[in-house]
Parts: sequence; C-alpha cells; structure tokens
Amino acid sequence: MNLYIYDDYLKKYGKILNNIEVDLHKLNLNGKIIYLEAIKNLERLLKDELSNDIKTIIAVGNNLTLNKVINAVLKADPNNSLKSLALGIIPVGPNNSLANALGIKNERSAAEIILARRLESLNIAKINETFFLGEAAISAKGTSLSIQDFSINPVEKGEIRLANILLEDKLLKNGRNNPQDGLIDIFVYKKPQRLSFFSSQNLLIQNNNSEKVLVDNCLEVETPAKVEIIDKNINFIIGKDRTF
Amino acid sequence: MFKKENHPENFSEVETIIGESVKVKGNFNGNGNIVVDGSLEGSLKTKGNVFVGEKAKVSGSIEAKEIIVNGEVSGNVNAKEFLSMGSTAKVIGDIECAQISIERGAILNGKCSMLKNSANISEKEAKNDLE
Repeated sequence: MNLYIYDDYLKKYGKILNNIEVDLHKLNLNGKIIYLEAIKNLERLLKDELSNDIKTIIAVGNNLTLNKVINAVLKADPNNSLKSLALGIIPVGPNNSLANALGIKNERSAAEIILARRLESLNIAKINETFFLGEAAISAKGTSLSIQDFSINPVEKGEIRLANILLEDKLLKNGRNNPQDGLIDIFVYKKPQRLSFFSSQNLLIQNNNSEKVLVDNCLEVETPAKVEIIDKNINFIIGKDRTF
Repeated sequence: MFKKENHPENFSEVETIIGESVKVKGNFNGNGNIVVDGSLEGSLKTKGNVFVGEKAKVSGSIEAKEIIVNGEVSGNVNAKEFLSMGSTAKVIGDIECAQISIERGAILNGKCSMLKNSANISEKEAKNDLE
C-alpha cells in the first residue's frame, strides 16, 4: 500500500497536484493521502501506518518534505520495518535538489519512476539529532573539523560540504561521492581546483562565529555539531538519471 | 598510480587530498592514495601511496608504499617500495626505502638507508621485464 505525504505549501500548486493525481491514478498507484498541515505528530502517525503494511511512502513536496519524512520514519520505526519499506519523492516547486540527485527531475516523470520502483538502499547521515540524506554545508571561515586523531583547519575563505549525497554542484563531482559506502565525503574548497577531500564515518564541526550548518539546503543546525552515518539504511525509489 | 609528471592520474584514485586551502593537525592514517598540497603538522601513514606537492609542508613522518616528494618534509620518510624526490624537494630527516630516485636540485639533510627487500624488488622487476 502507498502512502502520500503532502507538504503544507502545496496549496498554490493545485493544478500541478491535479495532474500528479491523474498520472498516479492512470498507473494504478493510488494510496492514502496525508496532509502535513493537518497533522501534529507525523512520527506517531507513521508508527501506526508502518504497522498497517505500508510498503511505500512518497513525500510530495521538496527537500524539507523528504527530510521531515526521513526523520519521522527513522524515529517511528519500531520493529526495524525499514527493510521492506521504500521512500520516494514527487518534487513540486523549487528546492528539490534531493529529488534531482535521486534521478527524479520533475513531477511529470515521478509517477513512471514510482511505478518502475527501482530501489537503492542508501546510507543516512545524522547531524546532532537530525537525520539527513544529502549534505551539510558551512562556510570555511572560522570552522574546524575534528576527525579521529586529526583536525582540518581551513586557511582561506571558502565552503565546506559534508556529503552523504552531494547536491547540485557538478564541479565537485569527480567520481568520489557514494551514499552506499558508509562514509561522509568532506569537500573543503574555494575554487574546485584547490579542493581538499577527506572521508570519514563521523566528525565534529566547530565554528568560532557560531555560524549554523545548512542541511539539505532546507534547515539550519547549530554548531558544534556531530555528523555521522547511522547504522540503518533506507530504500529509496530512484530514477535512471540519479547523480551518484 | 602516478603520471610521468609526478602527479596522480585522476581524482577517483585518490582517497584523500590535503589541499592548499587547509592545514591538517594530528596523525593521519589512511588506506589509499593521499595527495598533500597544503600543510600537515603530524604524521602521515597509509597502505597506499603519498604525493607531496611543490607547495606542501609536512612537519612529521611519512610512511607509505610509494612516496613522491616535491615539497618540504621535516620528518622521517619511509617508503616500503619507492621514493622519488623531485628537484624542488626538501627533506629534513632520515629516509628509508626499497628504491630511490633523486632529481638534481633536491635537498636531503639526513641519513638514507635502503630496505633489505630492495634487492628482491629489483630482481622481481628484472624478471617481469624479461617475461
């Protein structure tokens, strides 16, 4: 059974939603719809749904929607039901770099991809108490990263990206980003040709200026922040144009 | 792994890049190939190869399979197989390796000793050449 979770902001996309529902109906992908605005506790609701034989949960919205669903699923997962569960996304509107990375370029292609149900078991990262699929970014200025027995201290302005899945930036995609290797890929750069690259299972971010970490381009987390790959994977529905 | 001009062939073969934009402090242990173009204050140990770029500064020992030095190393260098010092290399410390190549202009302030298995490696290579 499919469960569709619609984000709050979708009201202004009425026509697009209608088209999505028509496409899903044509492909016999109907399911239960939950509107986030009507729900106080998504985690509790998913706890019930997961025990009701839900096999697929589709976030309809953007990066933040998928992030909410991932966090709720992981916190709700009572009996390790993740092995038989698949998550997907139907991207609507801007800030959909996660959908893009998963190979779901727009809402019109999403229904066919959900029908094909090509699954990949992907690592999930965690920053403090928040789970995420993509990347965490912070300015290099005033930031230091502690990993096992050493620390990384940027000596010039630039950007730091800690990626489970690296989002959007094609310049950094030189073949070293794999969300199935249990490692966070760490990119420190001002210009791509002056790139520093490390990978680790976990690390600590500190920033002298109390700057926050931007997670999946949609939510901010305070520093110091511990980042790690957790020991549970989630199956995601992916398209053939995935970026990893 | 390395091209003729003493640089890694491509990014995907490299496990870690300590670029010009960072200073790394502490002891770094790896399994794959490591490129140092920036600054490292501490030891560096890997089962793979190490490339030290022209502008790099390493204050600590290096231990790896193959090591190419074009920058500055203040510490002992131990190459299990091969050590190459380019014309801009400056090593202040003792070096130990199975095979060595030193370009004109390189600076070495320290003892140099060859590992016992160096003869075996040369024999093996000679055999491979004949085959």
